[in-house]
Amino acid sequence: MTDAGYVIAGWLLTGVVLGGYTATLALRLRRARKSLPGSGGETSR
Amino acid sequence: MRRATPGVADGPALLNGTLSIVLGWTALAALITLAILGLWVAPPDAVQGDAQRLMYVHVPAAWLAYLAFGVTALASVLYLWRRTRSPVWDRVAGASAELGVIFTGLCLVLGSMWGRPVWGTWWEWEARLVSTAVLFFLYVGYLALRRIPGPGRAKRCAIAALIAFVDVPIVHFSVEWWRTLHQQATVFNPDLNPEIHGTMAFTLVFGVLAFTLLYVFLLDRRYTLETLEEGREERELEQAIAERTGTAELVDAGARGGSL
Repeated sequence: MTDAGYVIAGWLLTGVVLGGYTATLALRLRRARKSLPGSGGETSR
Repeated sequence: MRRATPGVADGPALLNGTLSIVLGWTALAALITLAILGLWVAPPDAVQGDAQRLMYVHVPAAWLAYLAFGVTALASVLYLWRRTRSPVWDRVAGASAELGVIFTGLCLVLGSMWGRPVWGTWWEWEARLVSTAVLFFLYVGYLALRRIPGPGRAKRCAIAALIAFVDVPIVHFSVEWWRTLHQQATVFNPDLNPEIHGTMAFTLVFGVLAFTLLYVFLLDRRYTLETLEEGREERELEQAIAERTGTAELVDAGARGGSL
């Protein structure tokens, strides 16, 4: 692999890790907010 | 990103809703600018060539590891100190440690990808690399410890966080205390005249700033999530207790009715 290959792979990995974590966090937050009482999304047992 | 005003559904957050949104977009803009600066604008290194461009993400990731674990340690101290004890500090410690683990992992992998073309090896058993790997696993252990419920969980975790933090200065000073393959501090080393090209130095500092903005944004989001999840667990527990109490009362009433 050339130097450019390592650089591109490294930057792509950084983007995927940080972007993936941010997106996962946003999804989990949305789900947690929906489960709040009065939000209309809570499932009653 | 959603609405600008915080509401009931937001749960207690560290930052105001508008500030958090502005911070998120600013961090994203800064990271895109960093990519342009690091991949196109900054010149290749005279010795390392293009491989040096990995430093614009490796160094900020390393800085963020220090910062995140420093915040975890500080929040743990504030939790352990009776005067300032609050679940807020426990949540801040946990949220920051999770971010620290992500940035430490990223730092290790990016360092390895840089080491292959520059050092000729993916990994070397030397002080800086090994102490950083130990740091990573210490905080993975800390996060695992946080998931074990029971009385005194937060206190136990705060003590563990402080023990794990002992490795941070070891990581930082490892390049001075031992003979290592990893180079010593370059930019802030008074014994060296690094003669860094202006654009390269600016890109490096800008990278640290961009990653720090992202860290503050993610810390707020992770803290909010932690708060909401704790609230949900408490509600589920209360509901379960109420259901069991209701069932017990029904059984009692049935037993009394049957005995009459």
